[in-house]
Amino acid sequence: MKNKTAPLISLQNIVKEYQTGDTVFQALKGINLDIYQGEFVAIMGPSGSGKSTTMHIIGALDVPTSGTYLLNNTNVTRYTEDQLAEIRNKEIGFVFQSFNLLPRTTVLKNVERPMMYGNVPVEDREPRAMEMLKLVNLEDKAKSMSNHISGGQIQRVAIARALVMNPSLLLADEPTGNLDSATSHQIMSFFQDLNKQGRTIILITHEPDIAAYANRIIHIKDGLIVTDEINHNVTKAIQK
Amino acid sequence: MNYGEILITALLSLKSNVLRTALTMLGIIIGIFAVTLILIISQGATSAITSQISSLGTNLLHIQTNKAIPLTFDDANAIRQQIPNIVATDEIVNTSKTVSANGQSNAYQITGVNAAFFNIYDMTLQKGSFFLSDDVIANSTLAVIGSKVSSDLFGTDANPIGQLIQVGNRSFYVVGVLNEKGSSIIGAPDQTIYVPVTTAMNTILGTTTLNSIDVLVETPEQVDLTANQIKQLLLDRHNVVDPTIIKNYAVYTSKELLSTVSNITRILSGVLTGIAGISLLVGGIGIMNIMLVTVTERIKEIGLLKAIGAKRSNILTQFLIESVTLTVSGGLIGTILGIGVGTILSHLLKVPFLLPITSIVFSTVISIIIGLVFGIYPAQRAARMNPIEALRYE
Ligand SMILES: Nc1ncnc2c1ncn2[C@@H]1O[C@H](COP(=O)(O)OP(=O)(O)OP(=O)(O)O)[C@@H](O)[C@H]1O
Ligand SMILES: [Mg+2]
Repeated sequence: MKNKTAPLISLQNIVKEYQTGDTVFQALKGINLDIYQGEFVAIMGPSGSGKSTTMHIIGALDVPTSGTYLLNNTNVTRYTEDQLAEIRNKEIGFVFQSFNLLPRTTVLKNVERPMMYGNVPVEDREPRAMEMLKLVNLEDKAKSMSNHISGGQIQRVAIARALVMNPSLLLADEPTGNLDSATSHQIMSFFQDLNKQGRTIILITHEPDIAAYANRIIHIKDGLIVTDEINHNVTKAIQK
Repeated sequence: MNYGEILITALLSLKSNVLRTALTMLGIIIGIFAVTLILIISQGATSAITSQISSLGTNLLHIQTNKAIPLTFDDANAIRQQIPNIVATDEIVNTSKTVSANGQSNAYQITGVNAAFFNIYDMTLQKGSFFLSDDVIANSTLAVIGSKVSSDLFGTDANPIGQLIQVGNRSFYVVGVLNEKGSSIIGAPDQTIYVPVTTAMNTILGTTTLNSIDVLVETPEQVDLTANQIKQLLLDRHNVVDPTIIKNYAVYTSKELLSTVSNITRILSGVLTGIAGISLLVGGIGIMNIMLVTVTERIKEIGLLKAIGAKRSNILTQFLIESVTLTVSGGLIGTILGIGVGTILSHLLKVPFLLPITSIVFSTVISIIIGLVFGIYPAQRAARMNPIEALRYE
């Protein structure tokens, strides 16, 4: 998997501490991790091991207590709030386990929203959003209110929105956590397609058969990486 | 960022909780409603009074009595003889008495005037005639009565001319009935009985002091000069040297009367606007409260917005637009209600209705300011939220 070029993501000795009263809790105890352009990585590990914390740092939602984070060869560790917001908008697409969509508005407006923050010209927004919805086979739901679609559809809308700014990185924190098995596999085949088109994907999951769609599987325990292996047995998505 | 889109977003979120939105806006609605109504009524009243005063003519002087300088007939004569450019003067006394006639009895304003009065104030008759200068000199017991007095005492059909009316223990012959005139700055002529000033002073009041003297000057340009000359004459005649009395002694011109009236309405609307201001303050605090609730309710949403790239300024603008939308909608509703009630009220009060353009602009600006001032704290709270904590909030 290793390329000769510089990694897309480079975590160097990342430590994250949380202060609760007088006690300091180390959620991450020194994470070292390189992820290259085009990889599909699954992060696994027990609850509370630090998976989400790691992803938040990678996604510029949070900053580490110490250590260096290079994204595209740029040190973003000391970025300001607004600079981090810009990174999240342009470089990263998020899919969460729940609460992915803005209430009181349509599917289409949800997908358009990142373009509003990214200063994409108004007239370009709807066509681009529709294109993304087509990609996840939901163009017929464009005008539906975000609370009038199913759980699997919500995740697909979230994927469409995550891709709309054409980010270098797609981050998904247990995207299938609330879905039944059939729908989960449908979502995973989407990720696999996207990865085949060259997108870098990092996915957090508890379930081995979900992780099996990825090319590389990382196990985290107590804030440290315990294993980091290439998946030689990638689950092939059922052809649609 | 596209403000139109944010505005639509704001409206949608306000629409999603109509009752709460309405209750929140109530303070602003009441405040702006009050401001609008006050401005409509005070503008109408001022314009009504102003046109009344102007219709009297700007060449009228009004000399009021003063405890230090009691006005007498001799003063009036001296003014007539020594001050140039005077067209007419009129000595006036006022009192109120129970009047009976035709078996009816009622309290009315009794005003003692001389014959020039009817001319100065443009009075017209529906029946009979005015009394004349000779009648005044002769202490005649003649009366010119207002239209309401006539209909009260004699009914609408009867002819009161030549009838007797009893004022105190004196009887007066009705010689004239005035046309209806409506109330104005000079009082309520419809409900007044005009008798010769001499008779009023000697037999009704038993006094030698006048209440006031009206002086009609040839041209408006001469008014100020004449007022000063009269003032000096009166001070000389009464040997006044006390500087505070001199300072406070005024001869009113119509122009001064106008500014007094507009001062009074200004003070009145100032007080009422103050009360409306308190309502707006309370309304603003209500807005702040509801915006804080809204921010708390939408913490997860704010986290999500930050995750997809919203900057602090984006979140700040969104919530500010929302609070301003709240206050401006409230302001608009208040303005519309104010104009509606103002129209009805001006009709009832018989004052002209003037569309308060300034008040509409003022209300809108005030609403925007309230929205910004009371919305900024909740909006900042939303904008400064840590994205992770916001996303994790349950
Ligand atoms: N704001 C915080 N304050 C204190 N401790 C925190 C905070 N956020 C996370 N933690 C702790 O850090 C540790 C790692 O949390 P994290 O969310 O990364 O776990 P996770 O691996 O994603 O678990 P799960 O599978 O349950 O989602 C946990 O023990 C958690 O309690
Ligand atoms: Mg987690």
